[in-house]
Amino acid sequence: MKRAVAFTGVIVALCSCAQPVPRGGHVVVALSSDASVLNPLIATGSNTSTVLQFLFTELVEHDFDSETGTDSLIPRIAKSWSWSEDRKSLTYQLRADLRWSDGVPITAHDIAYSYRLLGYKEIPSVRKGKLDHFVRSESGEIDWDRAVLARNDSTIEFRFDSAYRRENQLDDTQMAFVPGHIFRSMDVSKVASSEFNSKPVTANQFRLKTWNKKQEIVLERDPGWLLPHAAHLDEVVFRVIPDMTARLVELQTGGVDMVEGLTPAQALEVSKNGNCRIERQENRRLEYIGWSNIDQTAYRKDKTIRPHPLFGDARVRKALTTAIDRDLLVQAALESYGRTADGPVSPAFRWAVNDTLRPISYDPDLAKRMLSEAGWFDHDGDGILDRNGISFEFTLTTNSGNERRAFVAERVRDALERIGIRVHVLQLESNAYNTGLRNREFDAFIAGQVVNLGLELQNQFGSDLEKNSFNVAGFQNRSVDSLLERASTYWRLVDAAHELKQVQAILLEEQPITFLYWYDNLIAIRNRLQGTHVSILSPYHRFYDWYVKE
Amino acid sequence: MLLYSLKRLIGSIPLLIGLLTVTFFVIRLAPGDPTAMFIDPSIDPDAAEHLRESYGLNDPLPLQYAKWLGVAPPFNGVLQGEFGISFSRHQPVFEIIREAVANTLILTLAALMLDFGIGIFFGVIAAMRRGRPTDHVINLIGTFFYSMPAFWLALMLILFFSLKLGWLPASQMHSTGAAGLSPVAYTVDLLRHMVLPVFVLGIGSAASTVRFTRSSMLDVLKQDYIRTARAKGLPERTVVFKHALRNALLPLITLLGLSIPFLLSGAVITEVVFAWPGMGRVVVDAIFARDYPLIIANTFVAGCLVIAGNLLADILYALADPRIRLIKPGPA
Repeated sequence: MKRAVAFTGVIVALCSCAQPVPRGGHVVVALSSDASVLNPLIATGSNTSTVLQFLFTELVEHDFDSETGTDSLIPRIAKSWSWSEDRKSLTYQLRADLRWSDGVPITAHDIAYSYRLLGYKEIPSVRKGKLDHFVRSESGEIDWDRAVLARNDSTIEFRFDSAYRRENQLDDTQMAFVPGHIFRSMDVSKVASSEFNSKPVTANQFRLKTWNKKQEIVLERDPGWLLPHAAHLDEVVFRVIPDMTARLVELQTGGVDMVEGLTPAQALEVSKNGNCRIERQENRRLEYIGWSNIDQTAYRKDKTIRPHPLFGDARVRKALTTAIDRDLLVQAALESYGRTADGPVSPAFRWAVNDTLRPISYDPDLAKRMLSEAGWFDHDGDGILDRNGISFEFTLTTNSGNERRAFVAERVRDALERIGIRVHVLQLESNAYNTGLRNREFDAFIAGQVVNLGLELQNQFGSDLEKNSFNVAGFQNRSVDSLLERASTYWRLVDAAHELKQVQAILLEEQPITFLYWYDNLIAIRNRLQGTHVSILSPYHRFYDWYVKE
Repeated sequence: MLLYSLKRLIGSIPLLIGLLTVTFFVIRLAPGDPTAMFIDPSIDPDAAEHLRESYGLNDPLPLQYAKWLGVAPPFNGVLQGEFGISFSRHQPVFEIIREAVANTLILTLAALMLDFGIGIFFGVIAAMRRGRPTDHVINLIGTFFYSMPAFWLALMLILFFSLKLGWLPASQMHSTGAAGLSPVAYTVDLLRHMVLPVFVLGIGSAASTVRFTRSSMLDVLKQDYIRTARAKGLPERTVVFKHALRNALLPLITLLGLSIPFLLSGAVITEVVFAWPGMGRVVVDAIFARDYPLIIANTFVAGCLVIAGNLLADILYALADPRIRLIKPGPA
């Protein structure tokens, strides 16, 4: 009998597996703001990127192996790729059977012209960094006759000034490109405001059907695009709903099928609705407290680098981390949707995480002793530590409109006041906050980042502050510089594991910033939408597998 | 009257240029920067600098002003009618505004009708029933809606009518796929989406219009000519609606004139909460993104509307009250 039941179970399972995925239908994705432009060369903003990934594809597709923590590449427009012997030239062989949404064949010339456009100063693009390593002429300008070469319709070659890291070469040569036949005859100064930006000719499973500005963007399946297979859905609709409450009401009443960026409380509420589920994009978003390691006033004045009067001493920074109960903070702010962070390398990259290090534990008494060793005592008995007549008092700045950061700021203030440090919390409007960060105007700040998958740490921890503008804390450490320099010389990223682990060890001791937590991007999805693959790469990863189960 | 209007319009040109000039400098003095969003380790560190260069923000401020005004090369500025390209949307700014204006007008005109319709109607009733329970109830309900923050009222209505009862949509102008509906069904769909935002937008102002109308009516009802009308034996309805109301509405004309700018700019919070794709959201997004050309174009539109509103109020005053003359007649 048991065997019969088991056999029946297997048959049922096989039948259900063999069922074809339903085709047709549409899903609605909520966006907090409208796309800016649908031109991948000049687009900015996360919502715009979300829409663009449905419309434009790159030469290869990324996939992330969560077991090994490594990124792999799957051929898409490119069938194959290879390097020259000196590793200064990368050549892609393209498929010859792909067409733009207007029916014109996609060729290597489209890619070459897209890169050429990116090089013009008239094109306002945040992607110009992709050109940094392209081969240059003696005058220092990119030598366009040699840098990007369409050898024929299906072969494109990129040439670089050095044999820099493999993954970075691949990354620099991945860009959603635009149709050359549209832009070649256009004055370059008109590209940024061309009609293409709102009526693009596209190259992916979906193409633009309609765009009602600030309302909705409707994409329809491009029947001519079968790579890797035709999308199951007929349409994907992006509805612009700025207010999160309205987005969640729409989700629960069936007006939208997918909403991202929920708070843990919202996720718990939504998960009670039997028609919805919560999926997580884990280990991609980091939040931290930045301590200004250098006297930023002096630096702003004449680029002089000298230690910050409060945070210039690594012992002090380590004491501050020790005084903050980060585990409790995670529990209170993120519930089960986050984990304590001890360094800048995402736990997803298992091979690169230095798990031999002992994380800093919460111990306020130890923190006080560490501050005493650094010379901070309450000499005048006012309850605030002081040294050489300077009270340990500072402003912790964060951006307004972020409840999680506001909560953390208050908790950190309370924690530090318990060890004799007075903290003023300041919330600034986001744009003013970002400008202040860039101009190094803050003593201490709460910031966050979506970490890049190339494990690029130079920009955040490299000592050269002119070159590494994201080193807002002003961290200075020659050992880290040489380790990162050495890491960059390896051909493969995984070969740099040893250096990356050593950097983590130094950062743990130096605490240029207090790493707080990795928080999950929480995505609510109605159960009618199936086939989703929320991954560290994107909540919309492999969207062409999505289907509707009514 | 035409001459008067022309003089007023020509006189307002320096005012507008002054307004735009002040806006030009004030937004650049405010903390923040159009490229502030590009502080991210995953973005090229030089990206912000590239963009600043593209936008001309690295020029000295006087040169930026001269270029913006159109008195420096390439001589293509505000004086030539060119307000520029939006930094955030890469579209000519008036194209963006034109797309949003119609949506906002649908919302605000309906709200204005609700405001004055309800406001005048209940204001008259409250004045006629002065001191009686009806007056108190109208007063109480008016105070309730007047004191309620628009965003809170909006959220409560969404939670009740959309989530709880499921009667009305929670956001946007149309349902998904509305473009394929018949004209009638499309209009019904639009009207269903309008109910909540129009109510939120109109009800607070209506509460104030009720108070205004009531007070104005009470003043008029005390006048000798009303007593005379009643003494002549005219029916009360004629006394109230023909003699009293027309005079009581005079102060409301000012209110109407002042409401004109609101038609395009007064629905910011409501538009954001209800995801209504109108001017309010254009303004908010432009300010947060420090999209200077778009902010200035919005200021220009708002300035024009204030001038037009004031002019309209003056003209309506003259039409409604024969004692008012816009230009003194010359000697006979």
